[in-house]
Amino acid sequence: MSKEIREHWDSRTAFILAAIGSAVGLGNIWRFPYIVYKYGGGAFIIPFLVALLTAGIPLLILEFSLGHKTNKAAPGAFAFFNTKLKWIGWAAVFIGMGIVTYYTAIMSWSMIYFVKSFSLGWGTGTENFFFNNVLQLSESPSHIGYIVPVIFIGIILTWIWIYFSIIKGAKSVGKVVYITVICPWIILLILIVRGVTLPGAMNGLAYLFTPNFTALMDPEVWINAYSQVFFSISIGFGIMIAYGSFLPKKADIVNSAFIIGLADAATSLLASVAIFSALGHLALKKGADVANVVTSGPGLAFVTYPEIINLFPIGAPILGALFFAMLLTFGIDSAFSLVEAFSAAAVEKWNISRAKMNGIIGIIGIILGIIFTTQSGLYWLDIVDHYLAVYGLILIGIFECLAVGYIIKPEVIRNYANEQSDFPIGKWWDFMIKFFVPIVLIAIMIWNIWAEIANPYGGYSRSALLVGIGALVISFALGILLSINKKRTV
Amino acid sequence: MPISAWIMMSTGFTITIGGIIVCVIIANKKK
Repeated sequence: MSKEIREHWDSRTAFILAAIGSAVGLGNIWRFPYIVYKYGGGAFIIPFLVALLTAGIPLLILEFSLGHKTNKAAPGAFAFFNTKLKWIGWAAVFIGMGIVTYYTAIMSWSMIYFVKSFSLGWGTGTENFFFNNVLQLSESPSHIGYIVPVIFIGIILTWIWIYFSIIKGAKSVGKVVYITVICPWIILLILIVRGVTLPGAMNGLAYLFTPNFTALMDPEVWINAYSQVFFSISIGFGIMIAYGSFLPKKADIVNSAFIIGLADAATSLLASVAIFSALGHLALKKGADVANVVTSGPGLAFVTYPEIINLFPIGAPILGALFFAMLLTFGIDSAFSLVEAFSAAAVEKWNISRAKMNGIIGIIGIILGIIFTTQSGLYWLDIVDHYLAVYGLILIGIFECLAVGYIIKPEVIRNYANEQSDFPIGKWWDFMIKFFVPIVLIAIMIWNIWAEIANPYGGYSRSALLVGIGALVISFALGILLSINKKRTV
Repeated sequence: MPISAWIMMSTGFTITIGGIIVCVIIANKKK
């Protein structure tokens, strides 16, 4: 165990901003609006908020309580109750680390676009620019091709940014987030004002928010609401356990979890207004239906939105730069929180300095990230993301709930959280952790596997998908391996 | 935009942003 005195957040605001920064990421901007549109429009807000209150916030309370009670990062927190549970914590932080290796590639693309914004350097053929000029995309995952130098430089710069953001753990993160969380919110508000004042904006918003209440009868809508909440609030990677462990002894857990969960949801809703008002304008200019211009994921950020930026009547380069600055700042705190969760656990285990550990993590991260800077990088990113961020997160969520629900006992955690909080949680929380959340997660898992059997993910070959499964298996295997080392206690 | 769309959008913002405001008020009262 580390002999260093554990660092703490400078203030409650710093903790809340750091946790919001971790939760709010690119998914809020490029996934949530599309999911709302696809699954019932405005009616989707009902299952989404229900999922947030019945699963998202209860899991946030669980992770914060584990970290705060034990004063440890994820592996040590589980080991505190039962050493046989330690592997859950290690697997969680390894999955998080796997995600950072490709997240940095997305950050790198955003950096390229940020620079290009000032001259609208993507031109009028935004699709061609993204796939052929930036990614230089090969024809399939097996055609790896060469490393694209500018993307590689971008991931190095991102790792340097991460390194300095977490250089002093909670102390530096607590300062950085005042900029990297508040600035993108301000930019988002600017983009909303710009978006809703564009011709055609209301048409886009009508497309998004007009409710289709019959969709609420469809289980797929509810599964997607719960999935969106799980994937959005950074649970299952050990981040919130580490962040909870940096709280001073006298700190609130329950109220903070509500603020963080609600802020993540509010940011998603704000992003939906910014994106769909702009899509409405694009549809008007193209003389097309809004449904024909709707996209999600990298296609939205790097193909469709640049096309919209080209159409802004005034200040297009500045608004373009603001959009990509928003992606970079929303993205960086998610990235460094994943690294911090691993780093905090690794420092506890190997008892070496944080700076040295972060340097080692950065070098390994750059090496592992090389595959995502190649011409086939987008394919591999998509495949690895599907297995680590979807299946990995679901599995860790299930194991966390089962560990707390049946081994640690939920009342132990609930009583602890209530002692620490502005307002208490009732026994409903025990039911959620013991039964409801694991059942929902298992349902999401079965749903995904079922879909996968019918159609291999993304139309990729089964051998390519095996690599993604391999990344998931390796994360769990490393977690278990580190847990059976009996020389150390953490 | 139809009235039903306005209602759903407002509901989303009221619950999330309103919820945050309530939580912050509680936090400040407990200080």
